[in-house]
Amino acid sequence: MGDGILASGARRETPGDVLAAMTAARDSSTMTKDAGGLSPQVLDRAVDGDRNAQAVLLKTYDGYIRRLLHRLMGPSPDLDDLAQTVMIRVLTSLSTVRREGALSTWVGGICVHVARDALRRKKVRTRVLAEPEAGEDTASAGSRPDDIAGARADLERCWKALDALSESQRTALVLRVFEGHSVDEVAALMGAAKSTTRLRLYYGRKAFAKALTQLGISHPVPGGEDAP
Amino acid sequence: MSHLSAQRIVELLLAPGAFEANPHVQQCQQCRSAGEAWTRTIEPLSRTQPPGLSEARRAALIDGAISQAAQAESQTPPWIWWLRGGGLAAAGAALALLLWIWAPLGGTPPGGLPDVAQTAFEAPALAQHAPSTPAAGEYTAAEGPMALSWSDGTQVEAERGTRFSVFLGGTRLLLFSGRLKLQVTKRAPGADFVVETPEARVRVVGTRFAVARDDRSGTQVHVDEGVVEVVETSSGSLSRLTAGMSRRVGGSLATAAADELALARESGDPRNARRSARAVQPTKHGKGGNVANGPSAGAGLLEATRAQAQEMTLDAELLLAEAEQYQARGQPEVALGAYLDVARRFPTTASAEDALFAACQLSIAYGGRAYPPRALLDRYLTQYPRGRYRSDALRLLKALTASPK
Repeated sequence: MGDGILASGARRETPGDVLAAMTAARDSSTMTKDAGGLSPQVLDRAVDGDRNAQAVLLKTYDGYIRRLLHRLMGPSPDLDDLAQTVMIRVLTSLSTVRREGALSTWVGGICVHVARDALRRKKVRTRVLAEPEAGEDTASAGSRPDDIAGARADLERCWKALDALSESQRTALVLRVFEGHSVDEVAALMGAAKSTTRLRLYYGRKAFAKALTQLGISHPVPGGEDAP
Repeated sequence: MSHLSAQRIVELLLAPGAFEANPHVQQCQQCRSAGEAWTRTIEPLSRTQPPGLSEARRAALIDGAISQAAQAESQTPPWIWWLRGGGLAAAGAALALLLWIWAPLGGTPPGGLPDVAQTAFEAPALAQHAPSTPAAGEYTAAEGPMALSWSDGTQVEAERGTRFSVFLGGTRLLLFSGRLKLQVTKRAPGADFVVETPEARVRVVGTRFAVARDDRSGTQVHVDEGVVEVVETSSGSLSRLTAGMSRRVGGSLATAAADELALARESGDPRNARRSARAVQPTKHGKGGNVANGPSAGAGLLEATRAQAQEMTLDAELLLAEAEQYQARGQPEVALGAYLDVARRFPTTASAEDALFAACQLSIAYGGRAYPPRALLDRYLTQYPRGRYRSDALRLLKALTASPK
């Protein structure tokens, strides 16, 4: 067993070295899913205050920012204002960005902070779902009016159920379940410990399931409804 | 067969992979259909998109952001720049000094409690199950017998030399070695009190009983009053013990018989001692352990095991979080026990693999004696031959082999 990668003439790797390398690799892998693909030169120029580079940066991420804010908060009349708040924070904090990490994770973290602030203030709880917005994809399952109306009603119920959660549980649940981030990534985005994130997810799931099943959805349930 | 409730179905659907892995779902077409219907309800949340934005509006948003950011930069007062530079370090040092002075006075640091503490307030279920007085952590009755009492009247006596941990809000005891006598106050459904050993899990609703463990004899349980459930970790077999009954899990039969008899005698009830003496006669059950006077595993027990499995899938993540908190709080041995607890009790979940590999890493970093790193890594590689951490585990194993200690 001991003749493998460690049998070279170089200094032998200790278990502590391996653990440190694994931690470093995990940290960097958490930050490497960069959807934007912005070049380092553009980033450098944006940090230096080049307005064209800043515009390129924001155009790369504005779709991501709006989508993430929308999913974190639900339909909101303040969406564009909040997106602009995120953009301003991105530009004013550019000098602090970690070069070895992915910019999208860093931008996502700012989105999460802004959304959580907004959720705390509860200004964005007003639903504007009565009329479908252009571009809103609520019913890809079918094109019949009944299907579309049913899907929209279900989505409305889901938003209502999410409103029953605390902002931290809601944010963790949306990032994990509906945005598909790993627990490590959710923890990084929310600036919380992994264990804290797991607890938020655990209680968030319970609260969401309870709220959703109490909204009168008539699915066949062999085991019946839980007592409230 | 009892089906899953709507709430449980939704909870499972929200934990990636949990619904499909649930043993009941795998057998029950009705619950699978219900799960598909709920999936159709929830799924639109992961497809929803914000309203469209015209190019003109988009350009206006971006230009506005750039202008406002430039304005904000130009209006930044000079002290902010000072703070961002060397001043930040000075401010940090001053804050650390303040906390250092503040902490011994028992005050809450400025800025609120740390994140872990805040989470505890978010966790009503844990708080509700925790009427405990003993603090979480590892206990060793080194000087002599040790007694712990809970505010609900539950009492635990540990014999001299007994080593155990209290965790999960005082509702779980992890017995490493020695002997515990317990008197557990009757609990509400769902608020179980559990004693864990490497071989078994003893669930208590409210009773008087004793648990003993050592590496040679395995785990012995003797019940004086009430009912306890014993789940053998390796096989998952469950048995209910009532007053006077004993069970051994793991270890050799001869030593176990003697130990069980002694345990029954010590409980002070000669009737129980006689029953146990009859009960612990070696049987044909072999090394998996014997059940004394225990009911056979019929349909009712199977049902109970399945119901328990449903609860387990999601609880695995909660226990994993607990283990991580113990690690973060600097209680490596308790954390190790808790990680291994997850791996043992929820072997079919993704959390089990995470927990077992976390235990491997912690045991290396901490240098734990109770759980040798090499054995843990071997166990990981055997249990998960194509696991997510296989290459890391192999690398660690090689480094351990090469390292002098």
